[in-house]
Amino acid sequence: MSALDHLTVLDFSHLLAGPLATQMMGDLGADIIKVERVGEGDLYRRLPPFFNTRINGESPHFLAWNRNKRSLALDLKSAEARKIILEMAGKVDVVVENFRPGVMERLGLGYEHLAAVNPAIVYCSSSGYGASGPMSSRPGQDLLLQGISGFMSVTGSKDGRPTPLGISLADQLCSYHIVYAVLAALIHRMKTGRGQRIEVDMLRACLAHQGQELLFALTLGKSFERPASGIAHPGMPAPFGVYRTADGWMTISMNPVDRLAEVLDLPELASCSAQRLWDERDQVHALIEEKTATATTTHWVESLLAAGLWAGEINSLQDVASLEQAEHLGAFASYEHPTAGTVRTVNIPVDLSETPGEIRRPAPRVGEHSREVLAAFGFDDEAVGAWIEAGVVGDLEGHSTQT
Amino acid sequence: MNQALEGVRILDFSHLLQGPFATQMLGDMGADVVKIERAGSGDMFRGMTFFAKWVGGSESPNFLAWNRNKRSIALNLKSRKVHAIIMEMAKSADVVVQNFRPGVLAKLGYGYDDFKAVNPRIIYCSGSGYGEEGPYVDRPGQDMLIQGLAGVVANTGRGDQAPVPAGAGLADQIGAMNMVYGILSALYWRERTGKGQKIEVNLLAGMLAHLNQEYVAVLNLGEDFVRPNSGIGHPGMQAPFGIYETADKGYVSIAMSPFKTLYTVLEAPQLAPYDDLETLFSKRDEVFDKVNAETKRFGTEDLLARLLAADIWCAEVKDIRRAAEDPQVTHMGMITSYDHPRGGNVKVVAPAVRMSETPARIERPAPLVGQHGREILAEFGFSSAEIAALEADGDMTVDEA
Repeated sequence: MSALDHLTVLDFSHLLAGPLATQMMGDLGADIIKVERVGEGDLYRRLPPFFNTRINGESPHFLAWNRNKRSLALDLKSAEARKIILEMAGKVDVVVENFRPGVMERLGLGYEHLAAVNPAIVYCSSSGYGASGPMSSRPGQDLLLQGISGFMSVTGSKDGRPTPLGISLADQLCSYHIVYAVLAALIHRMKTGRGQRIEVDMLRACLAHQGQELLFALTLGKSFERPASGIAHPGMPAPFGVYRTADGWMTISMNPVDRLAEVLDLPELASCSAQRLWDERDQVHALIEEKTATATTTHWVESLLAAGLWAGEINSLQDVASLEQAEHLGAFASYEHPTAGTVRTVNIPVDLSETPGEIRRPAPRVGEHSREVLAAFGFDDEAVGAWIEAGVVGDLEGHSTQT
Repeated sequence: MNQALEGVRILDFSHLLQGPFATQMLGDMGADVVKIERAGSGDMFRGMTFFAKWVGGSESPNFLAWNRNKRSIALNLKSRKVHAIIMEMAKSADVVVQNFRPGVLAKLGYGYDDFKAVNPRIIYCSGSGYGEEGPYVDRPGQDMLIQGLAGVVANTGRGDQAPVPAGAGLADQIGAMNMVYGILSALYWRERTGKGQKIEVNLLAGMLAHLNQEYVAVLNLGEDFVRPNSGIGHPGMQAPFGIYETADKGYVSIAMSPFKTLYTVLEAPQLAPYDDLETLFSKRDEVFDKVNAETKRFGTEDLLARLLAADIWCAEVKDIRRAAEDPQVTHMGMITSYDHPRGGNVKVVAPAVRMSETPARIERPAPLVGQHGREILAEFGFSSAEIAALEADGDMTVDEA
C-alpha cells in the first residue's frame, strides 16, 4: 500500500526541478507518466554528464531523478499529440511542467486549456524566476540561481571567490516546493472537489530557504561578510567551522568553549568571551586549528563526542557509501536497468509506517511505455500504430535509431 | 479565501530549525499549528542569533524566521497533569511533529504509541539527525556536522582549499521539506482510508537523497569527485561551468553553454582548440583561467547583456541584501514584513509557492513563549479554573506582549 496510489501525474517536466518532484510522488506510489520529446527525450539525457562519463550510454543525472516513471514520447507540436493530451487530461489528477514561461500556453496545453477539460486538475508550473517580471525569460539553471539568490555569497571564505555548492541546490529546493504545493492542493481537492493552478520557481524557493539570513540582513540592515578562515557561516562566531587534522578535515559545531578547551587541552581558549569569539573568530579558528592539526580526525571526533561535544567527520562520497549508519538506514539501494545494468542509487529518505515508499521501476528509456500508457487511456492499437508511423508518438525503436 | 490545510490541527513539539520550518510551511497553507514549548525559556532557538545582535534588542532572527503562523503554549512536559491535558488535546489533533533526540519524548509519555492509543487517526512525524537507531543514534544531529558526513562539504569549493559547508542550514531545511512531504502524503492517504501512521525522517538520509545524481555517478562509475583548482562550479563538471570575474570586481556565473558561442561573444577565437568535451573536462582549470582572463575585460552589466543576447546561460552573483533588492524578487513580492510585539517591524521572506485557489498567507508573527496558552486550552474545553491552577503550579507559563 502506498500513500499516493490512485494518483496519476502527467509530467511534462525535464532536467532536474520537475523530475525530482515527480520522482518523490512516484516513490510514494503515484503513477507518473513522463511525457518526453519523440526520439531524444528529456534534455537531461543528453547534457554532458559528470566526468563526461556515462553508465553504458545512460546519463547518471537522468537515472538519478527518473525512477518510478513511465515514459510516453510525443511530438508536442503536432495537433494529434495535443488531442491525445487533452483526452488524457480528463483522467489525470496532476500536471507538472517546467518549460520556460509561456511555452505550454503556446502549445495549447496551458492551465486554461486543461482545466476546460478537467476542472479538478491540479496544474503546477515551475520556472527559474516566475511567470512574469523582468527576469522571467532568463535561463533558469541551478548555478545561475545559486548566484542570483545570494546563496553563493554566504558560502566559502572571504579571500576566495563566491562558492557554489557541489549539489544542484536551487533545483532541488524548487522540487520540494512543487511537492509541498501539489500535495496541499490535493488535500484541498479531496475536501472540495476543486483543482487549481500552482506556480513555483527556483528563485523564490532559494529565498525561502534563506529565511533566517534574509530576515536578519533586512531587518537589522546588516550585510554578511564571509569569514577569512574556516568558520562555516558568515554570521557565526568561532568555533563553528571546518578544521584541518593530521590526516584530513573535520567539523566542530556550536560548543561551549570551556569544555572544548578542556578536550583540546587549550587553556587559552577557555577564557574567550562570547564577544571575542565573534570579533576575533578567524584568530580563534587559527588557534584551534593549530591543535587539531596535531592528531587524526578519528582521534578528535571520538574525544569530542565522548565529551558530549558536537563534532564530525568530513566524508567524500565514497566514504559515505561505506558508512555504517548509512547502511543501517538502508540509505542506498540498487535496481536493474535494461541498458545501464545494475544501478546503485540513494534510497527514499522518509519512512512511513503504513505506506512505505518503494522503488518499483528503473528510470525509463524514451517512449518505453508509450504503447502501454496510451492503451491504458483507451486509445486503440491501430491509432497508436499510425501515430508511431507518423512520428507523433515515439516508442523504443524510434529511440534506438536516435542515439 | 480558502486555504489548502484549513482544519488541520498540529501539535508541534519541535524546536531549533528542522521541525519549526516544516510546521511553518504547513501553517502558511492554513494549518492550525500549536507550538508546545518548554515553560519559561521556550524553544532553544530563541537564544540563538547571528553577529551576537538581536531584533528589537531581544528577539532571535533565527527564531522569528521559522515560527510565524503558530500559536505558542508553554508547558512543563514532565508534569503528570500536563500529560493528561496533552492527551486530551490529541483527541482532536491531526498531526504531531517532534525532533527531540530519539527516545526522549517517548520516555516522557509522548511517543507514537501513546498518541495512537487516544487517537488512531493521528499522524506522528519524528525528525532526527541519523534515524532512531544504529551506530550514530547518540551523535549530535547538528546541521553542519551532517553536511560534512553526507559528502556535500567535501564536494564544495576548490581542491586547494579546505572543504566548504553551505552558508545556510541546508541539512535541517531539507529535513524540514521531507517532513512536509511525508506529512502531506500521509494526510492525503488518511483522507482516503481513515488511517494514521508514523513517519520518520532524518537529516543524514535527506541530505544523501539530494546528492543522488552525484552518488549515482560515483557508485556506478567507481570514481570519486576531485574538486577543481579553479572557479569551476562543481567537481564533476567541465569548463566553462563556473564563476567568472568581471572588470568591475563583480562576478558572473556561466552554466552549461555551447563553448563556441561563448568564445565568440568574448571575441576570443584563440579558445577554439579547447572546444571538445574531453578537453573541456580534462583541462578545465586551464580553460577556466583563459576564459576568466577574457571576462575580466568586460563590466558585469555589459558582459551579461552580451551573453544573454547570445542565449548563454549566465547570471549575476548577488549578496544577500542585493538579492533582496533584485527587481525580479521585488516583482514577485517575495520580501514582506510583519509586526512583532518586541521585534517591531520584521522583514521576512514570503511563502514561495503561488496557489490560485488556496494562497499561502502570513497571519501571525512568531509567538512569544506561551503567548496563546490560555486561549488554546480554552478552545480545547479546559475551564478557566483549570487553566489558572496550571499557571499557579508553574506547569504553564504565559508571556504576554
